Amino acid sequence: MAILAVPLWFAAQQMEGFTYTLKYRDVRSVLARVTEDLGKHGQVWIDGAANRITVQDDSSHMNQIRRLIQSLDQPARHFAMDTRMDILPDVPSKSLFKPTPNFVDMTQWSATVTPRATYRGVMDLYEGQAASCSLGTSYVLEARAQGYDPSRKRLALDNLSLTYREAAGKPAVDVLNGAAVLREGRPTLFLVTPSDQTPPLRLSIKPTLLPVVTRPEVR
Amino acid sequence: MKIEEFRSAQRNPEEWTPFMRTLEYRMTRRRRHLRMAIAAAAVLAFVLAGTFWRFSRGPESRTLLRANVPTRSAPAFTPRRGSALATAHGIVVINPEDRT
Repeated sequence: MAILAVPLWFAAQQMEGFTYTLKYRDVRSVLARVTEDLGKHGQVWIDGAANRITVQDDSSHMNQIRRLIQSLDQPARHFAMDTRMDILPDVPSKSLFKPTPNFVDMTQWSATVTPRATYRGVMDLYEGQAASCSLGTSYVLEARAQGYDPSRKRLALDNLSLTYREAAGKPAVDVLNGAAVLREGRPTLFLVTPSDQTPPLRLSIKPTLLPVVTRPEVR
Repeated sequence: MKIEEFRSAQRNPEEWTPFMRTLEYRMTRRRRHLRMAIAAAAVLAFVLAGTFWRFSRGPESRTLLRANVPTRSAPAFTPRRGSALATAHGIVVINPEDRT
């Protein structure tokens, strides 16, 4: 018994714990991310009613996890989504977009062609909120932001959709619809294959984290 | 101040003035102490009431932001219709009604 108890007691001494009450975020929205940084013997508990997270881990991970939680528990961040959409010319040959291993040909082809039209737009997007911008007269891009991970500079969008409306009064067609995770400060390129109503499209979205302005200067 | 001191001062006119001066000083001091005690009690009552008001309200009902932070395994794009393929140059989104 003593042979087992002494090493267990020493192991327990190596573990540290802390409790943090989040001020701005629901504790459940950061749980999955915090769990990723836990050590081999790390444990985490959350108290949803008190919005409190308790972490127990070895001392080498403690500071890192504490810094991570503090960096995640911030007011809603503000992003500028710089958007550019190129309308590409029609596909020259039918074999280009076949779902074969040669499918990546589309990316090579789209890099070489001159777009028929280019539209630009900027969306003002806060974490937890949605925004939209028109690209030309027929296309509308909508996005809803989820959380941002400052340590990996990745912004989650639980909704990213591009719709096409041929004319006013006609039904909108979903060109692109899904959830995305974008890298902050870098453009992410979406190449959308053509459909019966839309030509091939190249959509580039670059989220930029804007600085927090607490006291804007008024002149 | 004892009654003997008062009677002694009554009998001796030379002691009357210092006696009255001392009496006035003591009464002033007593009133000042009373005012200070009332002020201290008021401050204490104010602090207690403020503390009670602050801690008896329960948890604040501030709206917390519920925005899931992406994990390492979160894919770059998950389409709701059709499929997507991540390549070195970008994400190819294949429409279900792809006409090619």
